[in-house]
Amino acid sequence: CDDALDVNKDPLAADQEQVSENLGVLFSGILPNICSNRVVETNINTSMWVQQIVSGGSAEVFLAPERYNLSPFYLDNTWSTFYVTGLKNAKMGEELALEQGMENTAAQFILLQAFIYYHITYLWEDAPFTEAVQPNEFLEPEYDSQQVVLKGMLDRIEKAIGMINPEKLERISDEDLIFRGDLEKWVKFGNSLKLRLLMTMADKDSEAKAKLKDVLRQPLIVNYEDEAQFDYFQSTNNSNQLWKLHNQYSVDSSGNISGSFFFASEGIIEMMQRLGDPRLSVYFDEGKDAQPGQFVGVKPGSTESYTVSTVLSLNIIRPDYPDRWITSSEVFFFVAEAILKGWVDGTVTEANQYLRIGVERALDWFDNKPGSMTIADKQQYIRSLPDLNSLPKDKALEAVYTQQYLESFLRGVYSFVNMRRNKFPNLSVPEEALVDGLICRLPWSPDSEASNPNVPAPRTVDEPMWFQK
Amino acid sequence: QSSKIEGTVTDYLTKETLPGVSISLKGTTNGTITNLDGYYSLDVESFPVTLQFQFIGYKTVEIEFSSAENSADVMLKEDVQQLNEVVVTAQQIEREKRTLGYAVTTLDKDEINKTGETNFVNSLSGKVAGVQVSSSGGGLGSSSRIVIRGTSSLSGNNQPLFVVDGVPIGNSNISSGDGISGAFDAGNGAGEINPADIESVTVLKGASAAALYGSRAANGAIIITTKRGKVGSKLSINYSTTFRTEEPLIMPDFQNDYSQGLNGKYDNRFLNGWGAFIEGQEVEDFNGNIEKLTAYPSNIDDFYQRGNLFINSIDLSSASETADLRLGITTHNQTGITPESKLGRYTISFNAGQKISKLVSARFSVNYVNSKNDGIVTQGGNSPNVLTSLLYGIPRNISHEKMKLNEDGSQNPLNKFTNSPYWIIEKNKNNTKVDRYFGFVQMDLKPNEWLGFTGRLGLDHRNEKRFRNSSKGTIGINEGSFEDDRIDQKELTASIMANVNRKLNEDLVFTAILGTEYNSRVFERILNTSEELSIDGIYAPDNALSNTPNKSYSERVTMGAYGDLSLTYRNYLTLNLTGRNDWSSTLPVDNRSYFYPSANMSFIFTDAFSWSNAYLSYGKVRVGAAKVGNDTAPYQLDFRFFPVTEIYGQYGLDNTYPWNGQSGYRASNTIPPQTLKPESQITYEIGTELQFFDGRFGLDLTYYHIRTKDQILSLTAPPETGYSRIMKNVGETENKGVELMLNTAPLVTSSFSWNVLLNFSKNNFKVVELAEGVDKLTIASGFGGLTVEATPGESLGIFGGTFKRDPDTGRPLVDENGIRLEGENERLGSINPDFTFGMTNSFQWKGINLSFLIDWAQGGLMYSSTVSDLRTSGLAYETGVDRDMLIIDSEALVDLGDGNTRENDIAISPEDFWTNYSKSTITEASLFDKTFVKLREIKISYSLPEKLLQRMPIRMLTVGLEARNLAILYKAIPHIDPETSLFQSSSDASGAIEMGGLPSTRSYGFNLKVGF
Repeated sequence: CDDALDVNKDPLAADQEQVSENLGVLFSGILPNICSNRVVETNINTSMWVQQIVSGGSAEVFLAPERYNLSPFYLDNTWSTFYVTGLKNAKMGEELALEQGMENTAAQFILLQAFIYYHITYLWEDAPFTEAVQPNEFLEPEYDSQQVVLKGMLDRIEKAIGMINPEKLERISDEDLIFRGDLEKWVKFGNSLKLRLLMTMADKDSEAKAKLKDVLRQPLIVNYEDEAQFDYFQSTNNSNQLWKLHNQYSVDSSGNISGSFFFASEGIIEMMQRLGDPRLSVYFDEGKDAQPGQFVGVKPGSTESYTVSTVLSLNIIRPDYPDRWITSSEVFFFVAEAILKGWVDGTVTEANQYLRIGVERALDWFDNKPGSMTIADKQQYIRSLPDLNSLPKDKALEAVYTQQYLESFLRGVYSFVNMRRNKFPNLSVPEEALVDGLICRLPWSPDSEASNPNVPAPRTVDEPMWFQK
Repeated sequence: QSSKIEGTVTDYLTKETLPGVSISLKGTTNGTITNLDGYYSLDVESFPVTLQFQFIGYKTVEIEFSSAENSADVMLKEDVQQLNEVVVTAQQIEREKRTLGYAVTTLDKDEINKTGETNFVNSLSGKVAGVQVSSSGGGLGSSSRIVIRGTSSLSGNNQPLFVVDGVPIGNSNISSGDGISGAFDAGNGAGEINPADIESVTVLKGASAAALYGSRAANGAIIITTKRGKVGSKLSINYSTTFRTEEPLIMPDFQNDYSQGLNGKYDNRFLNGWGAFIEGQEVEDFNGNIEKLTAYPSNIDDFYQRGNLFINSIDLSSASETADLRLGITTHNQTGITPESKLGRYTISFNAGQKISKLVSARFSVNYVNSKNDGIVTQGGNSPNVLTSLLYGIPRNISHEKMKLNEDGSQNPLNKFTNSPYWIIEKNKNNTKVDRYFGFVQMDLKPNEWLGFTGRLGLDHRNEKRFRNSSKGTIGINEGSFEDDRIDQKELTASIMANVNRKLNEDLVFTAILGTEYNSRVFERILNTSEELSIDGIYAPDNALSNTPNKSYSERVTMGAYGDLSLTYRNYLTLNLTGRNDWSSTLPVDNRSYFYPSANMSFIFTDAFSWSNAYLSYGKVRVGAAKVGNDTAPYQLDFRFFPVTEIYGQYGLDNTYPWNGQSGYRASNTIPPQTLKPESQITYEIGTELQFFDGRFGLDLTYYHIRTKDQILSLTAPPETGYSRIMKNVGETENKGVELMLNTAPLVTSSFSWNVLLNFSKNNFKVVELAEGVDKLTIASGFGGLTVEATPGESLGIFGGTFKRDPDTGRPLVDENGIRLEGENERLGSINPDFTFGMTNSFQWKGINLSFLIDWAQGGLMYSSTVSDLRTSGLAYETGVDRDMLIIDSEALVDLGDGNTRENDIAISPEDFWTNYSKSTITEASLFDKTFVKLREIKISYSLPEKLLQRMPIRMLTVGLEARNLAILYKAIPHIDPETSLFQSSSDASGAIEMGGLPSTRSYGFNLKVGF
């Protein structure tokens, strides 16, 4: 009788023991989902908030977040993509790896967790960290302050880097969809992520400046080969969802993408035209009824887009456009900025040099890709960059911020951090926005509010975060 | 010299002639019986004489005849005191109804098959108190939900168990997609039962009645007995044919004055009705042709077509004292109201029994169903193939002709985002094919008069192949895609039962049943999604650049042992005790065995106290109490890691694994329960059955109270725990209700009778508590923040967006532009009906029968996204009235922003008013009372009298006219039938949210029955 009833083991699911034999499948189980949220939701929203792109009222689902009106589905989806899909599985991978003494594998999982927390704390500020993802002890996790989260992340990143030993063969390789098991690159990734965190902490936390100096002596992402990006592919089901969005909902009768849901903001066009930035026609295409070379921006929050309005380019809207996590340009810009701010040692001449390398890398990245620029155009642009030595400090910094802003195109979360950190560019609140100030944060996830009494009181979306103050 | 007394014996109420009535000359052994026509004649030697008319179930009548001249027709009245109605109860046990301590309703074959239904479940609608049937719309083969005595479990499992000839059969409704992302309704399992094979249906309403079936009958049981060969007929053949035609029952009221566009200007990019006044002006249409702007009031009606339904049934049966057999074949061919939809269902039913010896008999039954349903429409949201919301968004100035495909088969899309409806219907299909076998083999042993054994092995094997495709060139799925979906379900039930029925002494009868049962259910599904077709129209996976297979499997086993003891004293007092122990594979080893008892009593006080008189002829009270346990789904206990197929992308932009050649796994999102015990449900019921005036008026009243606790629920966990759900034994609900059935014959004369059958039920459902700290449990989510929730202290409620209101007056507030402000998300009311009522009237005059059924459901709320869309798009009739006048929303106050208000004096255009008033985030504005009164069934039939038939080679002939859902007599909701639903029958929120459902249909036609 008992035997007949013993049929309650799911033959199509693995147990802990089976998964421990190949922990890489947990790694590959997380990444596409995190990036899916980035490319078609969070990066779009944050790119609209830094006013690189605008919806022009093309669809209610984009106009609403542009005006800071966020659907509960977006908030819940995103929160749970990070915690449920991302952190839980990564933490499980870390723990199962450590049980078997697999320190390299564990370190890969820890660095992935740190990258996920990066999104959480810079979108929501306070968030469960010390009590998160431990359901046996904490069914209603407390929220930690942003400072605690950031410090915790730094500790975890340092711990992971310390665990990595490239001599040992053990690691996640094929399922590591970022670096294919190249542990040296993971070390550079960890340090570069640390650099990002420290740039937001340098003025607020006493230990941060020392750590900043230290991290610049560590291996960082300085070459294209080191850059962290998640690749997309031509095949429909492994393709960038920003492209999918257009391919499904904006095609003409012959099946070609016939227009974008997204337009260039007035501000970015004005900025790029003023600088003569060759990326203007890389990032954007002229509107269907515009003259060649006629770029017409749209006001953030407005519904006033026309067939002449400048749209997001098909150089960007393509199936294999990667989700770029950390670029080498950004590292060079950070160093230039840190020198100018006096956070680390160095001369303005060095900063000037780093700025130029950063820009060069940003332009060269498009080589051999749709939107590649001519050598002449690139050189001319780099030559036109101001000499930081000739500028007062605030203007020099602004020159760096400008390049950070333009380089971070459609890398919304990162760009959104810089915008709030440096208060650059000087943006105005979109038309018909929900609040009077610029957006600084997301509201809490309604699912979390409904189930966890420890969720802090609601804050308005324009209340600045700890790192901004 | 002898004289002859002659006449006809008929039933007092029905006026049907009674064959086989025995007539005896009092005090002698002389006598006769009535023939098939109820006619008798008896030779009598001398007068006066007294004749005694005796017939089972009727009161014996004595008539004195003084001479042959006063020969007489005689009417017999049913003897309700001796009402020996036998009903089939749990485990196919037949019991006299008078001994049952719980409410039970039986419908006979005529009632079930009155107007042939595609979905068997619909034929129960409005006929049984306490039973609520909701159909989900007018698609062929669409599903219907049946709930007895209301929802009790919050886990979603609330439909009764279906049992055919003692064998449980599946009633699952497996979705293809969901309402949010576009789904098609492939029907529910029980819908495939062929009404023409049914002899009777007994509805066991609660745990008391169904305790013997174990946990699965906690929601009641529908006990179906199929037809068998009847003793006395050598070979009888019945043939029945039905033809009905079908059309949409209700269509939205459109305005027909304004074109597509915005702000009163024509614009062919917008699919709406906010454009120019249509007066023949020249415009460019969506194809780029210049035309005169014209309104096409019937463009949507013209898109729909007339559906046809043919049902042909032939039935051969034969029986002797030792053997019987029946073969039934039914064909069901139907075309739907949308082009390209058709259903073909073929059913073969075979049932044979043989008495092998005095000791042993055997029976075998098999039913085969073959069903092919083509062109099922996609419903819900977010899929480019959703039909109805697309149709209802078509501008008034586009004719259906213009939307047709080009000669080369290509389409002219209505705009950049919208396919032509003809493209969706002709090129993109949802098809299902079902092969299903169910039946049993059974062996009976009868060692002596009072002891019997039954062994039965039953099987329900259902195999379904589903296919859906989108052709290349479909907007939204430009490269084309298709899905092959194979579903295999097997349910095996084996049982052995011993049956004792013994008269202990003159006063006491003892019956006992002891049995065991083994039940196993296996579900297997393989679904392959192929995308990016190289060549259009070739639906081979090799023709696709991407294939994503997905498999699911589950198996569960339940074992049960049960006993049923009953003691009847002097045929008026019966005490019945049952007990069942179940062992379920889905529960933890320590808790997988659970026992539950029931007790009930029936007392016929009119017999006990000899109270029966001319007014009150029969009276019974019954009381019962029962406990039932319930298990959970398979595989809920272990911590599992699943291979991932789908990578969620907002806006339907999913990607899939393998990712660049790699698979991926993820851990379960539910924290598995540490311990889990069975759910428990305790039911009390008390009722009475009374008959007055010799059965001219009868009443059956029940009050019940059901408490369901320790529910196995999956609750929302804070996502920051890493899990989205946690599974626990929590939550308690309560159902209290009354059920009333009345039957009366207001008018009966010798040639005419009128009978009325009424049923009324009222169920109050309340969530008593959820888990500690949990104040809401989401049952279903719609769009725009709309949800259906369980909240403690209340019934299931709709939650959604409201208008911001002035706290003092409760009046809505508008902003400085005159636009209504949005308020908080709130509970807006209950989705449960206040009561349901059904009334069947039947009239009989000579051979003519007329009956009709009125079905009334009062109260409950529903949200209609169709109404919201019709209004925001300016296509609804009301948006076209006074379009050129400005509107001052006089119900509202202007919010001055400083806490003060003033009367609204801001005039806005109808376009501004409706687009804001009815927008999707304001649930309140498109929320309606779903009360309806429907004329559900009508049938007029005429049977050829026996006299005529005697000269023909046929035994019987009946012709009839029949109609279903002929009219909605009353409804509160505009534009749509309140009986349409976004969610399919498997959801407890079914009926609460409507979105793009196919209109329900009215059907009428004729029927012919011949018997040989």
